[in-house]
Amino acid sequence: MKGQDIKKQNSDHMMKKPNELHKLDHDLKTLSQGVYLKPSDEFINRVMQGISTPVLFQIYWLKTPLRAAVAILLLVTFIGLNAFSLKSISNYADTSTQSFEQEFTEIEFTMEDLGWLSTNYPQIVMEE
Amino acid sequence: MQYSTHFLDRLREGDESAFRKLVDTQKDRIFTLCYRILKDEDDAEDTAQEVFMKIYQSVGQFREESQLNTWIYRISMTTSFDLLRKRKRKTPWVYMSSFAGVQNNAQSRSWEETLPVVNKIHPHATLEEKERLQKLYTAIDKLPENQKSAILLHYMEGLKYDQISEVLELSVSAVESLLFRARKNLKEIL
Repeated sequence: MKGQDIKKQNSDHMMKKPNELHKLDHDLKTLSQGVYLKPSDEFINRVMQGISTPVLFQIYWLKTPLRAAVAILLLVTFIGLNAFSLKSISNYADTSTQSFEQEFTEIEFTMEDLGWLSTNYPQIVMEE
Repeated sequence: MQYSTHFLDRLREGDESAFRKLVDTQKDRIFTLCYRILKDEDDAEDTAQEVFMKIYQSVGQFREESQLNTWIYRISMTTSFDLLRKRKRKTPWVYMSSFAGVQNNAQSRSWEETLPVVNKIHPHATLEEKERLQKLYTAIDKLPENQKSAILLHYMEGLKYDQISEVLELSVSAVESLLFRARKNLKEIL
């Protein structure tokens, strides 16, 4: 490239730069000329409902009714299952205690058993 | 908009009619700001709602060290950028798909996303202006978060340097420097 061409290119660049700067400033100023958008008509009511909603339902994940319904269903199922399993355990404990007591009272000792017991545990037999 | 001390006291006491008035006067401004950041109307509406919930819950701690408006701007910007950050974290598949050779160009996505923003916020601009604005919005999207915030508050919301410094919790000279760097980067991008 000849010296003259370089000079011309540089001067073009210098001419272009303030132009571009001016354009950017102008465009940036255009940004402020925008209008404010309006949210939906129910927006205020949604916000006002939100401030009186229990904290649990303010959690982002629970915002949609379907998710909230699923969460409640899961919670109820969990509590129900827990109650059921507790009841089962207590029932089992009751019946097993009863059958143990029943079995224990129904034991019949033979003379042989008594002989064995008196040899090995004479004190128990004496007490009985 | 200036609010009286009496109005602020009513807000602090949890007066629902005062809060309704605040929502009514600020909703358009907050919704538009959120929309400018998030570029999705549903997201912007959900975020604006979250902003008002935060205001209601924490207005009791508002100490009037800054104006109520700038405090609301701060909450709006933090909430919107938080959602953007969450979204970015939740989409690791974008990187996976780029490895797999699937075209998912963030640049072109950003370009497409800015067109409805320009059409909605600048409905009276000429076609040529809209095209330039779309380029500008896409370029602003590529700026770092703090520079983007400064541009948004200064050029779009018309806030002065001292007000921006209150919103971003920076010194006035730091805001000046942020805006200088933002303009420099925009020139390079454009």
